[in-house]
Amino acid sequence: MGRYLLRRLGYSALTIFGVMVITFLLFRVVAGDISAAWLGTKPTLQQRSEWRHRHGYDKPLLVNVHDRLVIRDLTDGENPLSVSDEGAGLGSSALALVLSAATDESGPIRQQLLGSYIRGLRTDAPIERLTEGRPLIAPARALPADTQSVETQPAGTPPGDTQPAEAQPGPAGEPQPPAMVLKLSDGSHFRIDLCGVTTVGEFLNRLNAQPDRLHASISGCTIGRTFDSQFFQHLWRSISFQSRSLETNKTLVQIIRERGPYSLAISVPGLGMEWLLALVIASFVAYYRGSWLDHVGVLASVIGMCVPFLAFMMYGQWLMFELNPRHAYGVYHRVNLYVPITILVISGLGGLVRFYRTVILDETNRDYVRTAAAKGVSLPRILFVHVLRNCMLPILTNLVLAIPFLILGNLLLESFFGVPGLGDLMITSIGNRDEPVLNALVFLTALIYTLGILVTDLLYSLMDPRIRLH
Amino acid sequence: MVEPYRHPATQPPASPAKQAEAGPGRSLWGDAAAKLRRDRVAMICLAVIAVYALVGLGAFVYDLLAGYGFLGLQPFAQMTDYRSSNQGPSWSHWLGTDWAGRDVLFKTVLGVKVSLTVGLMSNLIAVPLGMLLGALAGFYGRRTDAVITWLYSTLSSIPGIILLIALKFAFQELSVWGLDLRGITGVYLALAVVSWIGTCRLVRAETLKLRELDYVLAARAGGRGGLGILIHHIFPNVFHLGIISFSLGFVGAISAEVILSYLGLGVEVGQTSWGTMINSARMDLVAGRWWELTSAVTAMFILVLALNLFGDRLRDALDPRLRNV
Repeated sequence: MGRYLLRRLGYSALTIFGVMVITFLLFRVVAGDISAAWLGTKPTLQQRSEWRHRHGYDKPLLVNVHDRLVIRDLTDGENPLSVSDEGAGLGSSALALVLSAATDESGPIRQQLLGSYIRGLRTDAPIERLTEGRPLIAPARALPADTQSVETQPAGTPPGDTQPAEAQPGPAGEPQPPAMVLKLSDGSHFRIDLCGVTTVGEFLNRLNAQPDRLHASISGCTIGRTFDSQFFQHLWRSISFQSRSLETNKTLVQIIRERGPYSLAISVPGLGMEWLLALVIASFVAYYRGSWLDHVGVLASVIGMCVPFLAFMMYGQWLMFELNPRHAYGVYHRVNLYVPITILVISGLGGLVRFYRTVILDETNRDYVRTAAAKGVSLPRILFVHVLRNCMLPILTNLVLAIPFLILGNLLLESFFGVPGLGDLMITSIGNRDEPVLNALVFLTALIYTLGILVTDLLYSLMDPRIRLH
Repeated sequence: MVEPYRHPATQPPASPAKQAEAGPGRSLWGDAAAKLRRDRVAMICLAVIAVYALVGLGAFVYDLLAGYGFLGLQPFAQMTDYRSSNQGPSWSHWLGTDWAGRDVLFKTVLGVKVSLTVGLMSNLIAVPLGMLLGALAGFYGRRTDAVITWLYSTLSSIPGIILLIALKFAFQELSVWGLDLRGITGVYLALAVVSWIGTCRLVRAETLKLRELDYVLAARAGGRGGLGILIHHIFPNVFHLGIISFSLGFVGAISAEVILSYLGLGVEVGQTSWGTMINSARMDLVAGRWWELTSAVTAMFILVLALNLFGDRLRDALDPRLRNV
């Protein structure tokens, strides 16, 4: 038993890890950059990189063996550190710098600007490595439209510089040289000439011209930061349920506490009644096997199985509107939940009755049933004592398959009937692209399912030692 | 009743009458076809499916012609006539009109095309993939089996509809090799990712059995390589499982597409499908407009019923042991 338990546990752990890998692939790798959905129309590159930095989407995907540019403000002031461009400079947008706070060894919180993660950044590398191929200086000709929209003009830019991309000479009569202006926290400006910058080292030297006010460096990769990547962040957030909603900034634990009860209030009575009713009807139909009752039962269950779920939902709500409009939508009245519960029960009944009937009939064809019948056991006793007990294995497995929906309620029902459960949340997060919530809910269902399967398997192996051999 | 095993050599020769009844060949396929032909329900269902296929083909041809503006045909999206919106059934519009004044019957017919292509395309990807992986896992065992089993048990631990939603969510801003995965192509692919698992399980279990059978051992002893045995001995004997999962998967794909389109994750915006019809008619019943919802639901119900019944009969004819699948 010990070895079986261990193997089974290891297998479940592998499956759960696999689910985390799949959700990572889907939501982080395939889904790509979702920042645009959260930033309104035409976000600038600057806004996008800031958003990505805030939510951890700018980290390297798998392992963090990357370097990044760090520009640290050494003046003690209250103003926010900011960066803008002058002349034909595109420095700030090309570098995609993001503001963040850094603690010094000496104690006070300093401000710093961080560049994007770049692998193998050396001081002798060409400057294009640092800007990831974006030009540091605007080309002499008019820029293509998309680059222009990317460019930022934060407040504080000197007047006259509003159209730096234009090739025409400025009001002063001659074009301004390209430059980047850093506004430091003590309110002073620090101008960095971008003319003739070709390597990363040269750029750093120009930034470090006044070492008491500003310090720029390339932060090399360290062992401690190796796991500071999107993948490990994803793993940690998944298993600790600490994913935060992009919409409300609540953690999954809070969300479940808030919405879980509504889902359970629908799904527990719904699935319980569905299961019980289906079992009773299936045994009844199987008992009268071959009679007209059986045929009608099978036909009805096939028809029930083929009616689309959406039809049950919509006609059910319409019926409720005709009978009692106040019970047709929302949870303002506690009694309202009976409508979605009834629909859940009826819609699932067809498939379940048919499945249980087949299972029961398969069992009645076995030898022990014939033996029981031959020795004179009554038919109801055979059916309800001998057969039903042996059918429990497939029936319980079938029940376990429904467990994820216990937590999630029913996706479509909840949003259609205005029940603020987890299923409803899932549907809304699709619409507003709330990736962490969707991610966490998918993982949650898979986790519950895997654990459910694990527990039933272990229970089976306790009841029936033959299973351990397979 | 289980008949005692008899070696073929000791089998009494079948009587001539019985041979004639069984027809020549007595292959699995011939048997199954004969069984289905005798089954009236199966034949009616097949006829219904054929009608749907013809209608779908017609809609496909119409879409193709209208797309190029041949014969003065108009694409459906442009057939709007707001003066006659939301009208009930009449002689000019047998099933009424939708919110934009377009004919609901025609809309339903266009939905047939979408549903059938979804069923066909997703299973054309999923079934061969599932058969291949299932046969490989069952035949080679060991590490191949471990990896494939891990893959499908991981995928199947996410409930189907939720995995579909996750996949389509991930596809939202994606195009791969020129395929725009935001729309219906993404639905084919997502459904394929979800539904190869069932086929793979069936085929793997069957291959595990087949691999130990005498004729496979004989082929191995005769010096045939692993790949040769797979192609010549395993595949032909699991092929019927592919057909069965195709018919099962078809129904699943149709239902899933309707739900995805209802959620706005299915067909492209502006495209017609039963799911988008149901979605746009979600508040219609309360307003007393039953026709759009009812025609979409009825069309889907009849197709799914016919496919389900036919699929059951097909499965019973090809492999009666699989009744619980």
